[in-house]
Amino acid sequence: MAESTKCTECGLCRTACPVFDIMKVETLSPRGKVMLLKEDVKDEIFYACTLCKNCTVACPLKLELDKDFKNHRAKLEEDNKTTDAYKVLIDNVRKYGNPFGKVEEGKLPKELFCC
Amino acid sequence: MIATLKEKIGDENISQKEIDKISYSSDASRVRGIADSIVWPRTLNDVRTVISYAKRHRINVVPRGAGTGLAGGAVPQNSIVMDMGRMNRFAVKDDKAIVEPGAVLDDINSVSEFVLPVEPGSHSVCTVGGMIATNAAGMRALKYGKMIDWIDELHVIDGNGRLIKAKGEKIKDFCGLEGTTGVVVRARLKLAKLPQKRSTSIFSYDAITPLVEKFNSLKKENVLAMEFIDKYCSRLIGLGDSNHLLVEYEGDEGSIKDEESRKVWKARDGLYASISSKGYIIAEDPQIPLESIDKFLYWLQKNDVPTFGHIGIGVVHPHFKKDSKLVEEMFAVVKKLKGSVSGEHGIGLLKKPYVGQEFIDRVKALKAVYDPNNVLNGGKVI
Repeated sequence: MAESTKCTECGLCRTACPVFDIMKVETLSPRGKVMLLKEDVKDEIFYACTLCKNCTVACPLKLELDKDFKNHRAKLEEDNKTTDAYKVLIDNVRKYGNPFGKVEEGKLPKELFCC
Repeated sequence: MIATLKEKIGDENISQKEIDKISYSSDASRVRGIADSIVWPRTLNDVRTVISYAKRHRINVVPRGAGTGLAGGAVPQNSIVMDMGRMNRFAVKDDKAIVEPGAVLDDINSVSEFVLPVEPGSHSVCTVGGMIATNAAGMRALKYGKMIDWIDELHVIDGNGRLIKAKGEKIKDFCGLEGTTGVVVRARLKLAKLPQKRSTSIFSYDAITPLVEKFNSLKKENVLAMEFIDKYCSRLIGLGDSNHLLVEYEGDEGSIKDEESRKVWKARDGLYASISSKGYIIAEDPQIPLESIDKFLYWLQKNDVPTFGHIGIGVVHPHFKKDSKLVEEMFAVVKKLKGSVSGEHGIGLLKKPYVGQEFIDRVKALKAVYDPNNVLNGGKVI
């Protein structure tokens, strides 16, 4: 059973989430993402999670929501609904063995891509 | 239409995205509503702009704190949801604080030895605005009372778009009315020092009578908090198969101290979620006169209603499964015992059928003054 189906939506995870802490948008909180999962929404917002597991620490039920978010990212990848930045990042890892692409020794990457 | 509002409060402070409408469609009550749009005001003027816009276009505005309310008070009804989370600045000086509504309780309490001692179970996330809107109580209410006891002054934007500065008796026109008469934009609060030394004792009883006798004998000056936890809830947090009385003392009278004491209260904080995960998703909060609390606990036990709560002030949290017929029966018992429908969560959407005519008349009279167009949190409380 997916962790998110057990979520009681109490909201005690909100301030533990570093993404929510900066943005103050419910949709970016673990609870907000759970509500999207329950509605089967496929959206790149699931990349706005650092997988830090702070939500699990704060959760009274110790739900590992990050696992659901990660699984959802895999589904987005399968459906080709992943982000452009993520596509470049994966491409760079496959081609050059790092997420930044071709980088000359001693130089900084021209573009930084982050998922 | 919304474009004019975007121009005034900034594109980044308003959304009509489907994903935002979904995540703002509910609060911890899990009742789903419909959000028309979401706004994140940053200033008093933003709040006034949104309310004036809503009044002009006859749209409902639902103010929202952390969305941890259990009565559906922040559930939108084709409304603009006004998330106060970005108005979160605060300043603490000695035993006073000036706070914006989105400030989180634990943040305020982390900067000085003076704290706001009203402590709901959601203290790590709940906002001052939400605490004022529901007149929050919490676990130390026995010693420190409710939120209204800690407010010196409120600044509120009412449904007419006017800035109201409320002091003294006028605070009651807004505190506990769930944003139906005005949106809090600033509050001046009193703070207190919590005793340095605190300790806890846990008393176990198989029957209700000796537990209530113990509770009556414990009404002492040095008791900070007193919580009742019934057999079902006790099992959930590993206390065993009895009813329990959790008592927090000022000083070291209790047998459990320091980290162990903190662990006990942290387990208590998580009880709502634990019970809810077992399917008991309706959490009520009636307040019962203390002389009748034993009768009420007997009724709950007889009907197998999982319950915990702040027995020290007569507010307990009976939990029910969805569509349970026992809810109505329980409110009949509350009425018979001369209790009130809500001790701390507010009326919201869920408890409207049970409020008395006197309360309805009072709110209607206040709405006529502060929100005659019913812009603010319409469909709630009455």
